[in-house]
Amino acid sequence: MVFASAALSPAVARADLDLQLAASGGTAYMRSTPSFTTDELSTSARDIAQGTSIGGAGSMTLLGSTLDVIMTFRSGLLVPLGGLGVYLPVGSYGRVITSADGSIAELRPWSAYRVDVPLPGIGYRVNRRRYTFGGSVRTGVAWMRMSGSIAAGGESEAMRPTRSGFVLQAELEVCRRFDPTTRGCIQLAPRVIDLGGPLNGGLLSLRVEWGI
Amino acid sequence: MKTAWIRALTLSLGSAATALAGCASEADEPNARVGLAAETALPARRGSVIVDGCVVDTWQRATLASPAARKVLREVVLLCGVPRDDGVVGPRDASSRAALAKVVSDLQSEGYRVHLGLAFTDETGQRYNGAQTARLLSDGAKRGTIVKTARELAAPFDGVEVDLQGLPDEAREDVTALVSALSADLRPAKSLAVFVPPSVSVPSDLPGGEAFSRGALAAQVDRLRVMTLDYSDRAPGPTIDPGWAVDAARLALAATPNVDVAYPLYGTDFGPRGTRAITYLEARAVAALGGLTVERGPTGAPFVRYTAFGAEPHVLWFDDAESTTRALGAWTYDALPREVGVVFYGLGAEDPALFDALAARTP
Repeated sequence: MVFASAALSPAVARADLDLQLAASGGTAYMRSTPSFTTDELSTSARDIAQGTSIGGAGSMTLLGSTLDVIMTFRSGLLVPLGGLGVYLPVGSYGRVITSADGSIAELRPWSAYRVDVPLPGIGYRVNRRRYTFGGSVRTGVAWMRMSGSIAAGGESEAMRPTRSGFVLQAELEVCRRFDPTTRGCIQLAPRVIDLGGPLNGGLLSLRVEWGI
Repeated sequence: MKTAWIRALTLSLGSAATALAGCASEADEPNARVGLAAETALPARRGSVIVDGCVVDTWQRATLASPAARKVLREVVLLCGVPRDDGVVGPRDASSRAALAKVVSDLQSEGYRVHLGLAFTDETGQRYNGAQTARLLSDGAKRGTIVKTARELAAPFDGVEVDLQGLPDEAREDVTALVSALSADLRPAKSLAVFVPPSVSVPSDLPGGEAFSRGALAAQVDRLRVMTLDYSDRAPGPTIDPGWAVDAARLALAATPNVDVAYPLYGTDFGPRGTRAITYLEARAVAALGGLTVERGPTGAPFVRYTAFGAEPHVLWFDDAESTTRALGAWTYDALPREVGVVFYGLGAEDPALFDALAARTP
């Protein structure tokens, strides 16, 4: 929907705009998913306290898109302001048998989703003819949820554990200018700090930027 | 022209993302690279095993002689001593005692500490008659006889363990008195442990659970063995739920850090006429002979549904190497402190691959 609305909006062509809207779609890789925490849960065997940790689910590849607002300066300074991204897993995943406070638990990675809220960062961009090369460091927060269950004797109780945390990523991009305010970019964003730990994968995405 | 190109690019990006996202699917097998299915090291724990009887048969002896069992286990408890109605702890015959001493000596030569388990059963050796035991314990003179004769029987052993079951709550003071008397008589030359029911709350959620004052007993014994067994005692289900066992151990840990949780080596056959203990091989044989599928429950414990004679529906729940390693792996040090040991109940009923599997993952 983000892509559709962006693509169908009137192209406002104005050179050297200070504010840009960017829509990207691509692949995110997490070397390891984080341990999750569960809500308070009562099973026939026992009560599980809120915040009980449940082991991670291994590596995961996700696909999704991000909408972002960026402020640019003529000096080349780049200030990404904020945005929103949603990612869903792709591929085939086995159930992960894990534990929650000594109980046997199960996580279903194929049911996961991740919401990223990129926060302000800072960077620099240089223009070479029709091409632009840029890099920035970006903060953000992310939230991830996965469905699962916890064993209680011969039964199991469904749960939806979550995890949220701070994200710090480097963003490197190569863009080609299509018109004075519109660019198409390839972006690589290794995640320095992520939900699953340090240097936990990153993003590779195609991106379109418009002046607004 | 350019605008159209940009729109096409944008739309295709969005379409591709929408089409591909959410296409994740479930694989046939659990993920073996992470979690409890991965072949990672298990938390190291003090291991003991209970033999239900005075005899260590050739199968059990071979198991205990294996390097794997010797790596995992430190103590062997022979649930052998049975106090009679007059308080005298049997077996009484000299020949039986000589044979028992030989068994103890053989096991000690394998490197095990061997403990004498006092099972307060009736003369059948199988049935715990709580009312009868309560009457026995309420008689101070008979308690004295139990202590005296237990000491004699325990001479070749390294320790004594007390297994009282089915007692009424009112027996609390007498249980403490017996254990205190045994403690005064046996320790420190021999260690003393007591089996306690797997209560998870105060007052106890179990019938007769209040017969055991964990605080008073902890001061008199070297270990509290929490009998986290027979979780599903009526409706078909696994013999243990690892999370429930953690809660039961935590209650005991409030009294002492010297706690063991029990893990069953046997299974249970649930049928319309009640329950019956079974071995791993018996369960597997039923599945193989009937061409039945062995399923796994939420805890990982295997089970088999079968129809017995007279068209009776039965369900066999048991444990194997996979379910046991899974449960022991779930008992991380966050859930159960490092000091908590594991006592395996029912040597001889286990999956023959169990101790090899445990040893391979024991640091």
